[in-house]
Amino acid sequence: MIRMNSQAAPGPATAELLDGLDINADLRPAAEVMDLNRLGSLQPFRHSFMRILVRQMVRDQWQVRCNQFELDDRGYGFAVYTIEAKAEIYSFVVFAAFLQDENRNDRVIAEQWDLTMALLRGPVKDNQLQRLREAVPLQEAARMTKDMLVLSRANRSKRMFDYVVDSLASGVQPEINRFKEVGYLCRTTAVYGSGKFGMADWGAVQHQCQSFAGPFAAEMFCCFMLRHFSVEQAQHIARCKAPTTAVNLDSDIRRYVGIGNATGLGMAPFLIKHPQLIARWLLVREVAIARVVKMGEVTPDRLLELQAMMKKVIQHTRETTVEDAKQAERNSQVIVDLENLTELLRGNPALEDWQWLKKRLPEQYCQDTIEIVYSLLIELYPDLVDFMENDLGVEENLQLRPEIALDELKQTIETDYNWSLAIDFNQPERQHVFWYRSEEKMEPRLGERYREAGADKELPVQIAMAVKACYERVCSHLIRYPNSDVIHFLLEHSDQTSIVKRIQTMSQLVYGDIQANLADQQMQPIHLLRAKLSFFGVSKFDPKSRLWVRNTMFQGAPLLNELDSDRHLDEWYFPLAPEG
Amino acid sequence: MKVSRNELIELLKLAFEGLGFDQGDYENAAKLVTYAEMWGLGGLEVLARALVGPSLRQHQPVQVLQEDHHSAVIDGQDLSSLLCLRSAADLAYVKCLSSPVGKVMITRCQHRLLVFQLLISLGLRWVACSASWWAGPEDDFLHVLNVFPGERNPLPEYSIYRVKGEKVKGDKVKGNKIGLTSTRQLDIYSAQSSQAMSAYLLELLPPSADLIKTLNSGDMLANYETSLVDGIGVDDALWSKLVSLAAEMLVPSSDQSRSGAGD
Repeated sequence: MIRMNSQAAPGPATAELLDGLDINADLRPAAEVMDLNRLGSLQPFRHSFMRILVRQMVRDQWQVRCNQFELDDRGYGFAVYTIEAKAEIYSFVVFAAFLQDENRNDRVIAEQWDLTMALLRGPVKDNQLQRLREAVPLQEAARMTKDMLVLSRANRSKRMFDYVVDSLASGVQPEINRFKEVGYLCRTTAVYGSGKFGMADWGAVQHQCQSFAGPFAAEMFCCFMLRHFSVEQAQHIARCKAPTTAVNLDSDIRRYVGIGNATGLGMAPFLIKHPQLIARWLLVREVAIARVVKMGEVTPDRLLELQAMMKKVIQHTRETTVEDAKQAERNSQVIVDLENLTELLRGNPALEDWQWLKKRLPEQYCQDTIEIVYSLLIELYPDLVDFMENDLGVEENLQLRPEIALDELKQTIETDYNWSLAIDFNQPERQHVFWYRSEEKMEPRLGERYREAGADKELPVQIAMAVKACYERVCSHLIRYPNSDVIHFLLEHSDQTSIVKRIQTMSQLVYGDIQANLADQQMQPIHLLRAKLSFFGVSKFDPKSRLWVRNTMFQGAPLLNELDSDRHLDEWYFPLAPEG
Repeated sequence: MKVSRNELIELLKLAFEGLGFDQGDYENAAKLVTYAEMWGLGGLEVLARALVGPSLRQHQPVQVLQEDHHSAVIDGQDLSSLLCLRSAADLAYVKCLSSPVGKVMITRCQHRLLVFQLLISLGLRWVACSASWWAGPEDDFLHVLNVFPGERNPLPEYSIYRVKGEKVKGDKVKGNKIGLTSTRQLDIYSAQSSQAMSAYLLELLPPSADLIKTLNSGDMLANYETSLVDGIGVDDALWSKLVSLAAEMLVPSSDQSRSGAGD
């Protein structure tokens, strides 16, 4: 039976996750975890969605076969794959078309792409394929159907695709150093799910698709299949070019080929619109950290393993190429920190438990390093954390408690939203930017409030400002009616209903709202993107401005033909280039 | 055309915002319409009618006319349910916390069927609730929506009764408590105990009421599941109308604005 108001797979009650933990003593406080700068330092970890998906595919022995691979000599045409995931059947359909270099654009507003694709429920019949051939390449401009879970598109990497094809055609493997710079052949520029353009609603996916009932599981799988196809396509073109000399990509190199991703502001409003879901994701990560720190036994073997992991991260970071000066500086600091920490841990007699390390991390290391070390600690103790793998979903329902005394609401704001009350919105720089939807494909954009038109159509993402305005009205109402309750406040101030619901709901959670003024002149939207992308599990974070970022997905993950064993199952975090 | 729940809610939010609704109202209204459609109550047809008249364009505050510890009367100002119900269901919830059955009457209220999802929200709080109103050319049809808490989901049912000869428009129904103190009145009842609510509803129903139509929980849940899985049918003209209303909230593009999302 379908649950009525569910928007994500129900996880257990927070109390179950917190079993054995003291919230105040063991968990990092909300002021630290939900701070926007901290969120901008989050790192992929064991429960990132790509990691969960790969373990699920291996555990359930998913079978993927290519039914049709109809590409011409230049790689244009289509391919259809069938996926058997336990008792469920899905199809991945991809269309490859010619694209002029000058039309290759990572923005949402692009109209043409090298590749367009879809993930569908059930097998694809011939007449359906014809409809897909017409609709999928049009992307947002077409209407999709209820059997489609994901719609996406991708562009070739100008730097890598032709180079790899030429190398393979001439019978030699591409230089691995080139993949250190760009770890993919193709880059996704949008991945749509959740019922957009007539596709299956998220509630229907949860109801009908057990294999994709976790958050973003279907979207991640679509990218995984794209990674596979991108190499197949390159190999096909190489074979057509030089049938006698062409070779396939070496499997170690192939495993190192991920899929690129370009993410812009469109991802940011999601974090504000789904506060309960985001708070749950953070809770799972923080509970995992707390359990490991509190219950993980420090043994010589574990210590050696952690040092080896840090060595791997150092190498991974050295292999990461970014143009952005700030990001390059951050990466350099991570290397310095981890080298320093490796020395500190070596034969240190004081290290009897991880509390010792937890205490020293913020004293001596940058935020990126701290989050990396926590990701590694989680990796050390799968037995302590893997039970939470299916707990990243939550039923979203902001619930009003109208009977509560208004004075109690005031106190709640003062306690849980003191960070927003501290902001002086009378200073112009605190309201410098506004978020809005452009008429061009409804692309979310940032505008300067005092310079650009459109502030009257502002997106409601300024939670800090809304909370403070609400607080002022509550105080004013209480002066007139000291014994009032929430319902009578809302009868007079009905425009406050939405923010009061949010305050009352989020204040019940361990981790509440993201603590940031999204209108501030100094605000970095890219931190929001990074927070979400870390839960996706991306690596090689490569900011192109403060508004958009490139990154790499599934680099180092098992290949399709390796899903039948756990040989490469969990070793692909912070992936390294193959040697040789 | 078929659209998904998520798609319909998002478009409605934007369309209502384009009509001038504030955030609390447009989020609420989008759900009231979408879920009334999904449960098989024809929410989109009601919306199409609402879009023709002025009831969605006016935004004056509702007024509490009278209130005691177990009941309240609100003047809906001839607004649509999408605007004038605002806190009415929550007020009914508060009333039932301090009395066996809480009652809120909203006078001059348009499109009363759209109250339904508010009752579901109460059901999700484990409260039994009901809404009733008189309709028809002679105001001789009594519409009753009931929602009782269920083990997994709230259990709704919708009934329409024909009542002959026992009531005079603008008066109380003889021998029972369902009152018509004004035209287009909506009454919302709530109770913490399902038994208390059932007993109260039995007492309310006019003795000569003939049941002429009913949708039970099974029918309504089936409609809901079908809508979720197969999509929601929307008239093309209505969809276009909503898209044009939503466009009011989009900012025209320019070279400057393009730089607000990229390089």
